[in-house]
Parts: sequence; C-alpha cells; structure tokens
Amino acid sequence: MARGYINDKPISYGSLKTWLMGHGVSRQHSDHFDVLNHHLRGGWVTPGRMVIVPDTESVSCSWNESWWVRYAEEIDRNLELDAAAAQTMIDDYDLLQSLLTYGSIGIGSATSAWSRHLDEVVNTLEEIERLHQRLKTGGLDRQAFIRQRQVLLALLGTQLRGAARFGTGLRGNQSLKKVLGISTKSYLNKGEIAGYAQRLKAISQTSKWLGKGTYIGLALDVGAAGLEIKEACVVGREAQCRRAKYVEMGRLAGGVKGGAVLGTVGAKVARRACNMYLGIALKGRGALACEIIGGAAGGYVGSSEFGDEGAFLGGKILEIDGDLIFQPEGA
Amino acid sequence: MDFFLVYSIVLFVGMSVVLGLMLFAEYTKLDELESYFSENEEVRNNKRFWRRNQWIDRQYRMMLIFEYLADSKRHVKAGLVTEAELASIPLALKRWVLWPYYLAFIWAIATVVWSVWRRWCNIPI
Repeated sequence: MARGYINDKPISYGSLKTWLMGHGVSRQHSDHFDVLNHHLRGGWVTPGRMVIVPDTESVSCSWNESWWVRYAEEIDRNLELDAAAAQTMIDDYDLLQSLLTYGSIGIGSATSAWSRHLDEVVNTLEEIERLHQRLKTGGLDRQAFIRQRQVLLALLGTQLRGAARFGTGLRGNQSLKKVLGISTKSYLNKGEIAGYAQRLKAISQTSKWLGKGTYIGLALDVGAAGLEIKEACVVGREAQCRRAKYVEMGRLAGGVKGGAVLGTVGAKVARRACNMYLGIALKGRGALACEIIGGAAGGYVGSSEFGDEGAFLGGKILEIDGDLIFQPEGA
Repeated sequence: MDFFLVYSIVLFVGMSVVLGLMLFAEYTKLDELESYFSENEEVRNNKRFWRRNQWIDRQYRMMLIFEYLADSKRHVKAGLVTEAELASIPLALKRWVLWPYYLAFIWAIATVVWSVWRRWCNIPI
C-alpha cells in the first residue's frame, strides 16, 4: 500500500527518490514513483510538500494511490497560494497554528491559567507513564494498553497544540510523536494526511491575514469612529453631532498613532521581560512569540489610551459659522 | 489654558514626531543596517520570517537590530552577534536606530502619566 511522506527540508528530486526508494530500485518501480510524484518534478522539492512512496509489491496505479495523488496536489495548491509563506509555515508551524487555535492575544494572558494548563500536561504524561508501568508488570494486556494510550495521546495532542508547546519544553516543528520519542516512523497514514492538507490551508490563510492584521485593526477603528458619529448625527442633535465628529476623529487619530508607537514599545518590553524574568532564550521562537504578544498588548493599550487623548483634544475643537476654533476652556 | 491641556498637546504632537522618526528610520535606514548583519544567522532568520516588507515586517526587523545595539553585552555573550558586527555600524546610523525608540519609551511613560492624571483628577473627555 502506498504511503505519504511530508518533506521537511529542501532536497533535490533525485536525492529524495534515492533516499525513499533506496539504491538498485527496478526501472518499473522508479517509473511508478515518477508517475505518482509528477507534482514534484522540476528538480527541487521544497519543505512541506508531500511525497508518495508507492507500494513495492505492485507497479500499476491503484485507487488507493489516486487518493494520495489527489491530496498531494491539494497540499501543493495550498502551498502555492502563498509561495512566500510556505517556508514560514514549515518553520513556524507551531506559532501559526496557535494563532489559529487560541487567537493572538489570549494565550497565556493569565499566569494561573497557564500554570494550570502545564499541570494538566504533566498529569497526562504521568498517566501515560503509569499505563506503561502497568503493562510491564502485567497488570494490563497489550490491546487495552494501546487503546488507553491512544486516548491519552489524543488528549496530550490537544493540550500541546500550538503555542501551548512553548511552555512545556517540548518545542520544535516536529510532530508530537517525534517530539515525545513515542514513534520513529516518518510516514503518515491517510487520516493524518487529510488533516495535514486541511491545516495547511487554514494556516496559509492565517499567515496571509497576519500580514494584514494592522489594516484590519485600522479598518475596525475607522468603522467604529464612523458609527459613533452616525449615532450622534440625527435630526435635532446638531451640537452633539458636531462635537462627535471632532471627538471621534481625534480618537481615531490618537488611537492609530498610539497603537503604532506603543505596539512597538510593548513588543520590545515583552521580549526583554521574557528574557530577563522568564528565562526565555534570546534565540528562537520563544522570543518571537513574546514580541508578538507584547506588541499586540502594547498596541491595544496604546490605541485605547491615546485614543482617549485624541478624543480629549478633539472635544476642544468647535465649529462656529464654518470656522474651526480651538476652545481650551470648553464650550 | 490649563497645564493638563498643554501636556496633552505636547504629548500628542510628540507622539506624531516619534512615529515619524520611527517610520523614517524603518523605511530609509533598515536596508543599510541589515547589510552590516549579512552574515548574522539570527538577523537572516528574522528577515525570513518578517519578509513581506510591509510596515509591521520592517518594524520587527528593526526591533531585533535595536535589541542588539541597545543591549549589546547580553547579545554578544549569548553569541547572537559579534563585537565586530556592532563596531562596523557607523555612529550616525546607530543613533537613527536607537533614538526614535528611546523617545518612544519616554513617550510611553508620558502616556501612562497622562492616563493616571486624567483618572486621578477625573477629567472628562
């Protein structure tokens, strides 16, 4: 039966083929490999792409192999959606997936929640360990052990998804099973491949939206300012309407500026704080995660506080007979 | 005009200047700066992650170099940057990296003061 393999480093097609199929493979098997992997032809295989390793017993294409080809092509399409983001996706799979799962600011916001989460991870690991001991001492038969371990691994998988892995010491871009040393197999089964294709699509979109995050925030701010003004501008409320215009425009100008500047400050402070107080290494993704979270928090606070300041100054502007007047002492 | 209003105006104008300086440095000085770190693995990785060249990308790329310059001892000790790399950057360029951000820190503190002041004295918007 054919198997799928996700390539994790740039490699030439020829070397990859030799590595997966071995030396001295027959001409027919070699051609079979080429047919199944026609999506990879062109010299260089980039990380994240799926390689189909054909069944060594047969040289004709089966229905099962056409399933693999379909998914391989889907994965390629998702990677091609944003070619520039492909390497980022592979390098920062954990971080990007965490943004999908938890949202950019929510993770680890409360220390107690974070510590509780880590305790749960430890509990699950200990349960796996206990289960293994019961198997060794004969307290559990093999089938029951495999069944119960599967349940615990699924639970652990959920607990360690994305950024949650950063706090546990089980870092890296490798799969959970590889990280835990539970299995050394590099090949994935059908269910895992289907999930991989779907996750890639979602991550590719998140990665694209991440770049536009600033503009989404800005669009929301502009929209909110417009709504406030519209609410005040109804017949019979001309004075409130005029005031709302300047207050809300001031809030928007202040919020955008404050968010931009304090977002940067927040990112720097968070990086420094993570390094000095939490002992997160300067190198690697931990520092990057701190920067992003700090940046988002700083941006939020800056936008809110400086927005208030802009609104305060905007409230001092009066429009009298078409002229704008700055009224320091209030209307 | 009361003192709070004057403080607010200075803060508001100052923030615009700080933002302008940051943008100027990020758009006109970053490429030159990165050329001094062409062999630095961490800078290269960071550039690969923030590669899209939008403002947020340039901001985070500049931030790493700022960290190297502002806290050089720790980074040299951690083996992330060499003294030779840091010494190769002209002083004027270093100032373009450091000062907009130092001013941003000062303005961030000033914003905290403004915020506390407004709440303490219950000043309406």
